[in-house]
Amino acid sequence: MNASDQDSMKKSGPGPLDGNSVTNFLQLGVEQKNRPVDRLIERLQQADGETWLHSALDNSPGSWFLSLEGSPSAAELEEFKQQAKVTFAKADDADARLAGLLRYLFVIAAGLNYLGALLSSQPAPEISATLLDLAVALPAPWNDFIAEAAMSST
Amino acid sequence: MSKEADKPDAFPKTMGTWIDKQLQEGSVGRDVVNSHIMSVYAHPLKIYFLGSSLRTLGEPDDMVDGFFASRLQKESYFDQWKESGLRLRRWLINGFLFHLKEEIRRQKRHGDSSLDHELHSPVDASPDLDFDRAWAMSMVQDAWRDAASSCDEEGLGNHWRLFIRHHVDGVPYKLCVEEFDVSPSQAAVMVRTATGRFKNALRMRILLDGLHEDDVDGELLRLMEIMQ
Repeated sequence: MNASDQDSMKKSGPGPLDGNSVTNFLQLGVEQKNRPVDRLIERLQQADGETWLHSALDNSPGSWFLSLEGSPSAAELEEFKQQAKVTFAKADDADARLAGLLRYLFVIAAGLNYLGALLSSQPAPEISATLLDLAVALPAPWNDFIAEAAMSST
Repeated sequence: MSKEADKPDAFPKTMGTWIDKQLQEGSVGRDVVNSHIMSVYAHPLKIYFLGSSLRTLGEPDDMVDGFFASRLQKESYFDQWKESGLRLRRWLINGFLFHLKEEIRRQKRHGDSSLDHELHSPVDASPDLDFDRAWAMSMVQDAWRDAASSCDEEGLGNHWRLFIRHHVDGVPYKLCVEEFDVSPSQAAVMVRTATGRFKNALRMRILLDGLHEDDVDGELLRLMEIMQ
Protein backbone atom coordinates (compact mmCIF):
# COMPACT_ATOMS: atom_id res chain seq x y z
CA MET A 1 0.00 0.00 0.00
CA ASN A 2 1.49 3.37 -0.94
CA ALA A 3 1.28 6.61 1.01
CA SER A 4 -1.79 7.73 -0.87
CA ASP A 5 -3.52 4.48 -0.08
CA GLN A 6 -2.65 4.81 3.58
CA ASP A 7 -4.03 8.33 3.57
CA SER A 8 -7.28 6.97 2.19
CA MET A 9 -7.46 4.39 4.94
CA LYS A 10 -6.67 6.91 7.62
CA LYS A 11 -9.14 9.53 6.47
CA SER A 12 -11.28 10.13 9.48
CA GLY A 13 -14.45 10.11 7.46
CA PRO A 14 -16.01 10.68 4.11
CA GLY A 15 -15.57 14.42 4.46
CA PRO A 16 -18.34 16.99 4.33
CA LEU A 17 -21.61 15.29 3.51
CA ASP A 18 -24.69 16.85 2.00
CA GLY A 19 -28.15 15.38 2.36
CA ASN A 20 -27.89 13.41 -0.84
CA SER A 21 -24.57 11.87 0.17
CA VAL A 22 -25.92 10.84 3.56
CA THR A 23 -28.98 9.38 1.87
CA ASN A 24 -26.81 7.35 -0.48
CA PHE A 25 -24.76 6.01 2.40
CA LEU A 26 -27.89 5.19 4.40
CA GLN A 27 -29.22 3.31 1.38
CA LEU A 28 -26.18 1.04 1.57
CA GLY A 29 -27.35 -0.05 5.01
CA VAL A 30 -30.74 -1.25 3.88
CA GLU A 31 -31.03 -5.01 3.91
CA GLN A 32 -32.19 -6.43 0.62
CA LYS A 33 -34.57 -9.15 1.69
CA ASN A 34 -36.46 -11.80 -0.19
CA ARG A 35 -35.23 -10.84 -3.61
CA PRO A 36 -35.59 -13.58 -6.20
CA VAL A 37 -31.87 -13.30 -6.87
CA ASP A 38 -31.17 -14.28 -3.28
CA ARG A 39 -32.91 -17.61 -3.87
CA LEU A 40 -30.94 -18.01 -7.08
CA ILE A 41 -27.70 -17.38 -5.20
CA GLU A 42 -28.70 -19.90 -2.55
CA ARG A 43 -29.32 -22.44 -5.31
CA LEU A 44 -25.90 -21.76 -6.81
CA GLN A 45 -24.29 -22.23 -3.42
CA GLN A 46 -25.73 -25.69 -2.91
CA ALA A 47 -23.42 -28.67 -3.26
CA ASP A 48 -24.63 -29.38 -6.79
CA GLY A 49 -24.84 -25.69 -7.66
CA GLU A 50 -22.27 -25.71 -10.44
CA THR A 51 -23.82 -28.77 -12.05
CA TRP A 52 -27.23 -27.12 -11.87
CA LEU A 53 -25.79 -23.93 -13.38
CA HIS A 54 -24.34 -25.76 -16.35
CA SER A 55 -27.60 -27.58 -16.87
CA ALA A 56 -29.66 -24.39 -16.66
CA LEU A 57 -27.41 -22.64 -19.18
CA ASP A 58 -27.14 -25.68 -21.44
CA ASN A 59 -30.93 -25.91 -21.63
CA SER A 60 -31.25 -22.27 -22.60
CA PRO A 61 -32.79 -21.24 -25.90
CA GLY A 62 -29.38 -20.24 -27.28
CA SER A 63 -25.90 -21.71 -27.03
CA TRP A 64 -24.62 -18.27 -26.16
CA PHE A 65 -25.77 -18.64 -22.54
CA LEU A 66 -23.30 -21.42 -21.89
CA SER A 67 -20.43 -20.31 -24.09
CA LEU A 68 -20.82 -16.52 -24.02
CA GLU A 69 -19.42 -16.65 -27.52
CA GLY A 70 -20.86 -14.35 -30.15
CA SER A 71 -23.21 -11.50 -29.40
CA PRO A 72 -26.93 -12.11 -29.69
CA SER A 73 -28.76 -9.40 -31.58
CA ALA A 74 -31.14 -7.04 -29.86
CA ALA A 75 -34.06 -8.99 -31.29
CA GLU A 76 -32.65 -12.28 -30.00
CA LEU A 77 -32.08 -10.83 -26.58
CA GLU A 78 -35.63 -9.56 -26.47
CA GLU A 79 -36.89 -13.02 -27.42
CA PHE A 80 -34.66 -14.68 -24.82
CA LYS A 81 -35.90 -12.24 -22.24
CA GLN A 82 -39.54 -12.93 -22.90
CA GLN A 83 -38.95 -16.69 -22.75
CA ALA A 84 -37.06 -16.34 -19.49
CA LYS A 85 -39.84 -14.24 -17.99
CA VAL A 86 -42.43 -16.82 -18.93
CA THR A 87 -40.32 -19.61 -17.45
CA PHE A 88 -39.76 -17.68 -14.26
CA ALA A 89 -43.45 -16.89 -13.91
CA LYS A 90 -44.99 -20.18 -14.96
CA ALA A 91 -42.59 -23.06 -14.43
CA ASP A 92 -43.85 -25.80 -12.16
CA ASP A 93 -40.82 -26.33 -9.99
CA ALA A 94 -38.44 -24.04 -8.17
CA ASP A 95 -35.35 -25.07 -10.10
CA ALA A 96 -37.00 -24.29 -13.42
CA ARG A 97 -38.15 -20.90 -12.16
CA LEU A 98 -34.67 -20.10 -10.97
CA ALA A 99 -33.27 -21.18 -14.31
CA GLY A 100 -35.64 -18.68 -15.90
CA LEU A 101 -34.41 -15.97 -13.58
CA LEU A 102 -30.80 -16.88 -14.33
CA ARG A 103 -31.39 -16.56 -18.07
CA TYR A 104 -33.29 -13.32 -17.59
CA LEU A 105 -30.36 -11.80 -15.71
CA PHE A 106 -27.92 -13.08 -18.34
CA VAL A 107 -29.99 -11.31 -20.99
CA ILE A 108 -30.02 -8.09 -18.96
CA ALA A 109 -26.24 -8.37 -18.58
CA ALA A 110 -25.87 -8.96 -22.30
CA GLY A 111 -27.93 -5.86 -23.01
CA LEU A 112 -25.60 -3.80 -20.86
CA ASN A 113 -22.39 -5.38 -22.16
CA TYR A 114 -23.24 -5.62 -25.85
CA LEU A 115 -25.78 -2.88 -26.47
CA GLY A 116 -25.09 -0.48 -23.63
CA ALA A 117 -28.80 -0.68 -22.93
CA LEU A 118 -30.78 -1.59 -19.84
CA LEU A 119 -33.36 -4.07 -21.07
CA SER A 120 -35.32 -3.92 -17.84
CA SER A 121 -37.81 -1.58 -16.29
CA GLN A 122 -36.07 -1.97 -12.93
CA PRO A 123 -33.98 1.01 -11.81
CA ALA A 124 -30.35 0.79 -12.90
CA PRO A 125 -28.92 0.82 -9.34
CA GLU A 126 -31.21 -2.06 -8.40
CA ILE A 127 -30.17 -4.08 -11.44
CA SER A 128 -26.54 -3.27 -10.76
CA ALA A 129 -26.79 -4.48 -7.17
CA THR A 130 -28.58 -7.65 -8.28
CA LEU A 131 -25.99 -8.44 -10.93
CA LEU A 132 -23.16 -7.63 -8.55
CA ASP A 133 -24.47 -10.10 -6.00
CA LEU A 134 -25.03 -12.73 -8.67
CA ALA A 135 -21.53 -12.26 -10.07
CA VAL A 136 -19.94 -13.09 -6.74
CA ALA A 137 -21.86 -16.38 -6.63
CA LEU A 138 -20.94 -17.47 -10.18
CA PRO A 139 -17.82 -19.29 -11.32
CA ALA A 140 -15.68 -18.20 -14.27
CA PRO A 141 -16.25 -17.20 -16.97
CA TRP A 142 -19.77 -16.04 -16.17
CA ASN A 143 -18.72 -14.10 -13.06
CA ASP A 144 -16.70 -11.57 -15.04
CA PHE A 145 -19.42 -11.22 -17.65
CA ILE A 146 -22.10 -10.49 -15.07
CA ALA A 147 -19.82 -8.28 -12.96
CA GLU A 148 -18.85 -6.24 -16.00
CA ALA A 149 -22.51 -5.61 -16.70
CA ALA A 150 -23.16 -4.72 -13.06
CA MET A 151 -20.43 -2.13 -13.18
CA SER A 152 -21.23 -0.67 -16.57
CA SER A 153 -24.17 1.39 -15.43
CA THR A 154 -22.85 2.71 -12.14
CA MET B 1 -27.48 -10.59 7.08
CA SER B 2 -24.07 -12.03 6.40
CA LYS B 3 -22.70 -15.09 8.15
CA GLU B 4 -20.04 -12.83 9.61
CA ALA B 5 -22.74 -10.72 11.16
CA ASP B 6 -24.41 -13.77 12.63
CA LYS B 7 -21.39 -14.66 14.71
CA PRO B 8 -22.08 -14.38 18.43
CA ASP B 9 -21.25 -10.93 19.74
CA ALA B 10 -20.17 -9.74 16.27
CA PHE B 11 -23.43 -7.90 15.72
CA PRO B 12 -25.13 -7.21 19.04
CA LYS B 13 -28.89 -7.46 18.92
CA THR B 14 -29.48 -4.57 21.25
CA MET B 15 -27.64 -1.73 22.81
CA GLY B 16 -28.42 -3.30 26.17
CA THR B 17 -26.52 -6.48 25.51
CA TRP B 18 -23.64 -4.62 23.94
CA ILE B 19 -23.42 -2.16 26.81
CA ASP B 20 -23.69 -4.92 29.37
CA LYS B 21 -20.88 -6.80 27.72
CA GLN B 22 -18.67 -3.73 27.53
CA LEU B 23 -19.36 -2.62 31.08
CA GLN B 24 -18.38 -6.04 32.35
CA GLU B 25 -14.93 -5.28 30.99
CA GLY B 26 -14.50 -2.54 33.59
CA SER B 27 -13.06 0.87 32.85
CA VAL B 28 -11.81 -0.16 29.42
CA GLY B 29 -15.28 -1.28 28.40
CA ARG B 30 -16.86 1.84 29.84
CA ASP B 31 -14.47 3.94 27.77
CA VAL B 32 -15.57 2.01 24.66
CA VAL B 33 -19.23 2.69 25.42
CA ASN B 34 -18.60 6.33 26.18
CA SER B 35 -16.50 6.72 23.07
CA HIS B 36 -19.37 5.37 20.97
CA ILE B 37 -21.89 7.67 22.65
CA MET B 38 -19.72 10.73 22.15
CA SER B 39 -18.77 9.82 18.61
CA VAL B 40 -22.33 9.33 17.44
CA TYR B 41 -24.39 11.66 19.61
CA ALA B 42 -22.21 14.69 20.42
CA HIS B 43 -22.78 16.44 17.12
CA PRO B 44 -26.56 15.85 17.06
CA LEU B 45 -26.84 17.20 20.60
CA LYS B 46 -24.94 20.32 19.60
CA ILE B 47 -27.27 20.81 16.65
CA TYR B 48 -30.23 20.30 18.95
CA PHE B 49 -28.82 22.87 21.39
CA LEU B 50 -28.23 25.44 18.65
CA GLY B 51 -31.85 25.06 17.56
CA SER B 52 -33.20 25.52 21.03
CA SER B 53 -34.25 28.56 23.01
CA LEU B 54 -31.40 27.78 25.38
CA ARG B 55 -28.59 28.39 22.93
CA THR B 56 -27.50 31.55 24.73
CA LEU B 57 -26.48 29.47 27.73
CA GLY B 58 -23.03 28.97 26.31
CA GLU B 59 -20.98 27.28 23.68
CA PRO B 60 -22.47 24.05 22.33
CA ASP B 61 -19.18 22.22 22.83
CA ASP B 62 -19.13 23.22 26.49
CA MET B 63 -22.74 22.25 27.04
CA VAL B 64 -22.44 18.85 25.44
CA ASP B 65 -19.06 18.09 27.00
CA GLY B 66 -20.47 19.08 30.38
CA PHE B 67 -23.46 16.83 29.87
CA PHE B 68 -21.34 13.85 28.99
CA ALA B 69 -18.94 14.51 31.84
CA SER B 70 -21.78 14.67 34.32
CA ARG B 71 -23.58 11.52 33.15
CA LEU B 72 -21.41 8.98 31.41
CA GLN B 73 -19.26 8.02 34.37
CA LYS B 74 -22.26 7.27 36.57
CA GLU B 75 -22.42 3.56 37.27
CA SER B 76 -26.18 3.45 37.00
CA TYR B 77 -26.61 5.66 33.95
CA PHE B 78 -27.13 2.90 31.42
CA ASP B 79 -29.18 0.78 33.79
CA GLN B 80 -31.53 3.72 34.12
CA TRP B 81 -31.67 4.07 30.37
CA LYS B 82 -32.61 0.43 29.93
CA GLU B 83 -35.28 0.74 32.59
CA SER B 84 -36.71 3.77 30.80
CA GLY B 85 -37.56 1.78 27.68
CA LEU B 86 -36.61 4.81 25.60
CA ARG B 87 -34.56 4.91 22.45
CA LEU B 88 -31.06 5.99 23.36
CA ARG B 89 -31.28 9.21 21.39
CA ARG B 90 -34.47 10.19 23.24
CA TRP B 91 -32.88 9.26 26.57
CA LEU B 92 -29.88 11.45 25.77
CA ILE B 93 -32.02 14.38 24.58
CA ASN B 94 -34.08 14.21 27.76
CA GLY B 95 -30.96 14.00 29.87
CA PHE B 96 -29.36 16.85 27.96
CA LEU B 97 -32.38 19.07 28.53
CA PHE B 98 -32.24 18.25 32.22
CA HIS B 99 -28.54 19.09 32.22
CA LEU B 100 -29.30 22.44 30.59
CA LYS B 101 -31.86 23.12 33.27
CA GLU B 102 -29.20 22.45 35.88
CA GLU B 103 -26.91 24.81 34.01
CA ILE B 104 -29.51 27.58 34.11
CA ARG B 105 -29.80 27.18 37.86
CA ARG B 106 -26.03 27.13 38.23
CA GLN B 107 -25.63 30.31 36.23
CA LYS B 108 -28.40 32.01 38.19
CA ARG B 109 -26.81 31.02 41.47
CA HIS B 110 -23.56 32.57 40.37
CA GLY B 111 -25.31 35.62 39.06
CA ASP B 112 -23.44 35.37 35.80
CA SER B 113 -26.45 34.88 33.63
CA SER B 114 -29.08 37.21 32.42
CA LEU B 115 -31.09 34.18 31.45
CA ASP B 116 -34.56 34.01 32.69
CA HIS B 117 -35.30 30.70 31.17
CA GLU B 118 -37.23 27.88 32.45
CA LEU B 119 -37.09 24.85 30.34
CA HIS B 120 -39.30 25.28 27.36
CA SER B 121 -39.60 23.60 24.04
CA PRO B 122 -36.86 24.44 21.63
CA VAL B 123 -37.42 27.33 19.24
CA ASP B 124 -37.24 25.40 16.02
CA ALA B 125 -40.35 23.67 14.84
CA SER B 126 -38.55 20.43 14.25
CA PRO B 127 -35.63 20.09 16.65
CA ASP B 128 -35.98 16.35 16.66
CA LEU B 129 -35.66 16.30 12.89
CA ASP B 130 -32.58 18.49 13.09
CA PHE B 131 -31.19 16.10 15.68
CA ASP B 132 -31.99 13.08 13.55
CA ARG B 133 -30.40 14.58 10.45
CA ALA B 134 -27.24 15.24 12.43
CA TRP B 135 -27.51 11.77 13.97
CA ALA B 136 -27.71 10.15 10.55
CA MET B 137 -24.64 12.07 9.46
CA SER B 138 -22.72 11.11 12.59
CA MET B 139 -23.66 7.47 12.17
CA VAL B 140 -22.49 7.46 8.56
CA GLN B 141 -19.18 9.02 9.57
CA ASP B 142 -18.74 6.69 12.54
CA ALA B 143 -19.63 3.62 10.48
CA TRP B 144 -17.14 4.82 7.88
CA ARG B 145 -14.33 4.93 10.45
CA ASP B 146 -15.32 1.52 11.79
CA ALA B 147 -15.44 -0.10 8.35
CA ALA B 148 -12.18 1.55 7.26
CA SER B 149 -10.46 0.33 10.38
CA SER B 150 -11.87 -3.17 9.96
CA CYS B 151 -10.65 -3.37 6.35
CA ASP B 152 -7.27 -1.95 7.30
CA GLU B 153 -6.75 -4.47 10.09
CA GLU B 154 -7.57 -7.38 7.80
CA GLY B 155 -5.42 -6.35 4.88
CA LEU B 156 -8.37 -5.27 2.77
CA GLY B 157 -7.04 -1.80 2.07
CA ASN B 158 -7.69 -1.96 -1.64
CA HIS B 159 -11.23 -3.15 -1.02
CA TRP B 160 -11.87 -0.04 1.05
CA ARG B 161 -10.09 2.24 -1.39
CA LEU B 162 -12.26 0.97 -4.20
CA PHE B 163 -15.32 1.65 -2.06
CA ILE B 164 -14.11 5.21 -1.49
CA ARG B 165 -13.30 5.77 -5.14
CA HIS B 166 -16.79 4.80 -6.15
CA HIS B 167 -18.99 6.06 -3.32
CA VAL B 168 -17.07 9.18 -2.34
CA ASP B 169 -15.04 10.20 -5.36
CA GLY B 170 -17.81 9.17 -7.73
CA VAL B 171 -15.58 7.10 -10.00
CA PRO B 172 -17.67 4.64 -12.04
CA TYR B 173 -16.99 1.01 -11.24
CA LYS B 174 -15.84 0.42 -14.78
CA LEU B 175 -12.98 2.90 -14.30
CA CYS B 176 -12.23 1.45 -10.86
CA VAL B 177 -11.62 -1.91 -12.51
CA GLU B 178 -8.95 -0.32 -14.69
CA GLU B 179 -7.51 1.77 -11.89
CA PHE B 180 -7.11 -1.18 -9.55
CA ASP B 181 -6.04 -3.53 -12.33
CA VAL B 182 -8.48 -6.23 -11.30
CA SER B 183 -11.03 -8.27 -13.18
CA PRO B 184 -14.69 -7.26 -12.96
CA SER B 185 -15.44 -10.27 -10.79
CA GLN B 186 -12.56 -9.42 -8.45
CA ALA B 187 -13.87 -5.87 -8.24
CA ALA B 188 -17.33 -7.24 -7.47
CA VAL B 189 -15.96 -9.18 -4.52
CA MET B 190 -14.05 -6.13 -3.32
CA VAL B 191 -17.10 -3.91 -3.60
CA ARG B 192 -19.32 -6.37 -1.80
CA THR B 193 -16.78 -6.91 0.97
CA ALA B 194 -16.22 -3.22 1.69
CA THR B 195 -19.88 -2.38 1.30
CA GLY B 196 -20.74 -5.22 3.66
CA ARG B 197 -18.38 -3.85 6.30
CA PHE B 198 -19.91 -0.42 6.03
CA LYS B 199 -23.43 -1.78 5.98
CA ASN B 200 -22.92 -3.87 9.12
CA ALA B 201 -21.27 -0.95 10.91
CA LEU B 202 -24.15 1.35 10.01
CA ARG B 203 -26.85 -1.13 10.95
CA MET B 204 -25.09 -1.80 14.24
CA ARG B 205 -25.33 1.88 15.12
CA ILE B 206 -29.07 1.81 14.56
CA LEU B 207 -29.32 -1.28 16.75
CA LEU B 208 -27.21 0.44 19.37
CA ASP B 209 -29.83 3.14 19.65
CA GLY B 210 -32.16 0.48 20.99
CA LEU B 211 -34.09 -0.68 17.94
CA HIS B 212 -34.98 -4.26 17.17
CA GLU B 213 -33.28 -5.68 14.13
CA ASP B 214 -36.59 -6.01 12.31
CA ASP B 215 -37.00 -2.25 12.56
CA VAL B 216 -33.59 -1.21 11.28
CA ASP B 217 -34.61 -0.99 7.62
CA GLY B 218 -37.63 1.11 8.54
CA GLU B 219 -35.45 3.48 10.53
CA LEU B 220 -32.97 3.78 7.68
CA LEU B 221 -35.80 4.60 5.29
CA ARG B 222 -37.18 7.19 7.73
CA LEU B 223 -33.76 8.82 8.00
CA MET B 224 -33.36 8.79 4.22
CA GLU B 225 -36.70 10.54 3.91
CA ILE B 226 -35.87 13.31 6.35
CA MET B 227 -32.49 13.84 4.70
CA GLN B 228 -34.19 14.81 1.44
